[in-house]
Amino acid sequence: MLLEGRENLKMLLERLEENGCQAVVCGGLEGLYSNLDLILNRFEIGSAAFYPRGRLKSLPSRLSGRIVQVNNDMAAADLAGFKLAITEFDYALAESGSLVIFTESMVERLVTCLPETLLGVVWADRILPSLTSHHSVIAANVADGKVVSIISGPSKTLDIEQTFVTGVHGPDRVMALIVVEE
Amino acid sequence: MIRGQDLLRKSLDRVRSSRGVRMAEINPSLLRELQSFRDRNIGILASNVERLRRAVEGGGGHFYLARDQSEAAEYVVDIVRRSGGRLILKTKSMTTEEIGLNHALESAGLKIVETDMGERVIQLTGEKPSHILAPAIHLTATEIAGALSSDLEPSPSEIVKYVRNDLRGYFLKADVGVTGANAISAEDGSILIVTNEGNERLVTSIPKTYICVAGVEKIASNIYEALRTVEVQINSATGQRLTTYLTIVSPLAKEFRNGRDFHLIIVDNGRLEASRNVELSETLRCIRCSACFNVCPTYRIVGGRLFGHIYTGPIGIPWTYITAGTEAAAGFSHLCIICGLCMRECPVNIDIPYLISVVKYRAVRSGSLRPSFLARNYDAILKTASRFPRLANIALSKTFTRALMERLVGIDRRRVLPPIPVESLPKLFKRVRRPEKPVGRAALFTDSLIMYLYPRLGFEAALILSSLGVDVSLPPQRGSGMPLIQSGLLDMARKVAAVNVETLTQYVDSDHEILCLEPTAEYMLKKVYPKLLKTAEADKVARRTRSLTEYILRIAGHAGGRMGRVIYHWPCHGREVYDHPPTRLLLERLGFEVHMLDTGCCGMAGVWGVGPGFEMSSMIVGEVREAVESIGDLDVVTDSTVCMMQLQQFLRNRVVHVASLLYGIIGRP
Repeated sequence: MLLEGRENLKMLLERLEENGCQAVVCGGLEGLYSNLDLILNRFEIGSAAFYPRGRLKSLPSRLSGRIVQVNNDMAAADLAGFKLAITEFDYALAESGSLVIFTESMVERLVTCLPETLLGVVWADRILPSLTSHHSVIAANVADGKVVSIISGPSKTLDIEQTFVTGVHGPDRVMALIVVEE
Repeated sequence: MIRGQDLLRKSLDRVRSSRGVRMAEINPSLLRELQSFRDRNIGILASNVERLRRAVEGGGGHFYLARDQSEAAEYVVDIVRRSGGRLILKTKSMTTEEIGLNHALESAGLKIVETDMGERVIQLTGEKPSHILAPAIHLTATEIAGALSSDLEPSPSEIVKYVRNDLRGYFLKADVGVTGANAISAEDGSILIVTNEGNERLVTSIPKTYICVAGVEKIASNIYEALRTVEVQINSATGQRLTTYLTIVSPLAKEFRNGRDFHLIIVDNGRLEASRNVELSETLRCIRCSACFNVCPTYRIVGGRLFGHIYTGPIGIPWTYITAGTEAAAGFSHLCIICGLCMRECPVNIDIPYLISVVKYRAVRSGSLRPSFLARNYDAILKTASRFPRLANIALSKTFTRALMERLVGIDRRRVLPPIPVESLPKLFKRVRRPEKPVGRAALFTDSLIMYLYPRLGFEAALILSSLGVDVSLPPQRGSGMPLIQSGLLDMARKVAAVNVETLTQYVDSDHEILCLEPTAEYMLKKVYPKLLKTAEADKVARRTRSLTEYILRIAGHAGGRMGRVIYHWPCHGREVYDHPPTRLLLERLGFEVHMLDTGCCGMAGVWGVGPGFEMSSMIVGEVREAVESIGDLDVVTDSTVCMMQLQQFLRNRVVHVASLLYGIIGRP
């Protein structure tokens, strides 16, 4: 990894934590699967949704039996029933500690919104410095018919007496699994 | 105490503190860049509207430019009716408030549900929102829980859980989703929406019909500008780097190719006309971060339920004028005391106080706002009193005459006023010796209070300068005119400015620097007169204007021993002309340990605090009093006689003007 990449990763980890996200660095795909294994152990079978996309089109059999693979025919109400959602994000933004996803369907978008816990997988070579540093990437995806969602932590509000409460309309917990491949 | 005042102030302080940290990290060139393209876009609004129309329609969406609020609301109702939808979900949007969308939809028999937590609370409790970002900021958890359900525990987490469950059902069966926009790119029709709760993600994705309603000023030329606008808006609004969610939807999205509809309604409602008006167009630079609310002394007391129409807070005054007219703006414009603190907070450098004085001027001309007798005649009243000081002092000392003065002149009987001095400043000034070999030449511009009420301070300032070898003059002058600006009497203020600039120009031409003994006077000469007069002379005078302490710092190399501890109150208008207070630096160089007050306005605001605003003024000063008491029983130093008058009345500490303090150290012969 280039020095710049390492700096971006370091900043991303710091900022994700500041935003109230749990961030885990995974050594390659095997590291990712091991972490998913540990996390899925905490959830009942069938309560976790997986939306295949990007480099994460499938999960190994030791994991796939414990998750429900989501497809674009599902209704919003079905997605709301899941406790956990796993999907790959297209980019991460180091400066703001954000995960970026470009989606084509309502289900692809809602799977990152309705379940209580969101587990976002992002590859370390897809960490961008900031929101505006690669604005052309955003513009290109808009032109390609995608909706852009940039997520920086759990859903939250300060509307009642300025008290911080999470899990308003979106996930109460956000975890980022950052996959580093040598 | 006004209901919710304490909660409001704490919330504003918390937001201000976190935004301060974030804004300090931002490279100022980014803010200048933002200001620059916002201004450029104001100039090309009409052509950007057409570019946006082409982008939306070319992408398969529907575009509509609504001339006013009723046209916009009717159009939305029509879309909903044609879609066959009955249930509409909405995110927080000031533009939909402006067009009265909820009322229009409900009148058409449709059900509209707010999805932002605070807005939903406001909708369910029937309250009026008090802040554009945090509408329920004034309500306690107990009040909210009580209004929502008789058995709901009054804790924020339980209330959030209750509202979340209530709204989930609506989200899953909604027919139409309505959002505002934080920015829009004219290039591709992208709509940028930010929230911390995530409701915009559900509102833009689940309902079959999606409608965005946004003001024309939200249009940026391209995605880069839109992203930059949103980024700074978030930084300045809450201090976050980004909000939890930033969603970008466009008519090109494949989500809208499977039987879903995309509608963008751009609302003009006075904005295009304002963009062509040189006095008001700056308003459209606003990115709605609401940073100006945090520091506004009167907003901090009364909140948005009184300080606002649809748009609240300081920048809400010109917004209201543009979108709802003179009457609506005049209804709360008097709450602005032109302290100018808002301008210092604005990330895009909008001269909010001047915009407000323009709105007040127009309101005065239309008869919607009546300036007080005191504001109109303050200079003449002071002048007359100083001609007959003994008579004036008898009048000031009697309860009956104070009551009469309150009735006839508008001076509140509770305001403690100093006795009118027998010797005038011009008379005292004759005793100032002119140095044989002057190190510099200075002309004093004092403003009315020093001229008529505190001439001793002007005299002491002159003696200090004389002792430092400065050839000091006292030009004939009129009061700076701030009370006229405060009251919207711009024509009168312009005349005063012209007289003062004409005189002071002669002094500048003969190599004098203009020294102000009052921060308000300096603010007027440096910032307001050039705007009022738009002449080369006004600019020339502005460039040669300094405060007394800045001038002394420059010409004298004082270094002192241990002088003790003092508390320093930095007047609001001083903050408009200096990034760092020269007075503090001078005091420290002289050997003082200075405790700088981290509070805002003391609440006096000139004639406002003497007369019509006394009641509120006495509440505003509370924050300064608390801060001073927390430091201890030290002398309080300030540069302003106006602040001095206020603090002397409401603090237990001794309060001194800096000229008086300096005279005791470096001015005595």
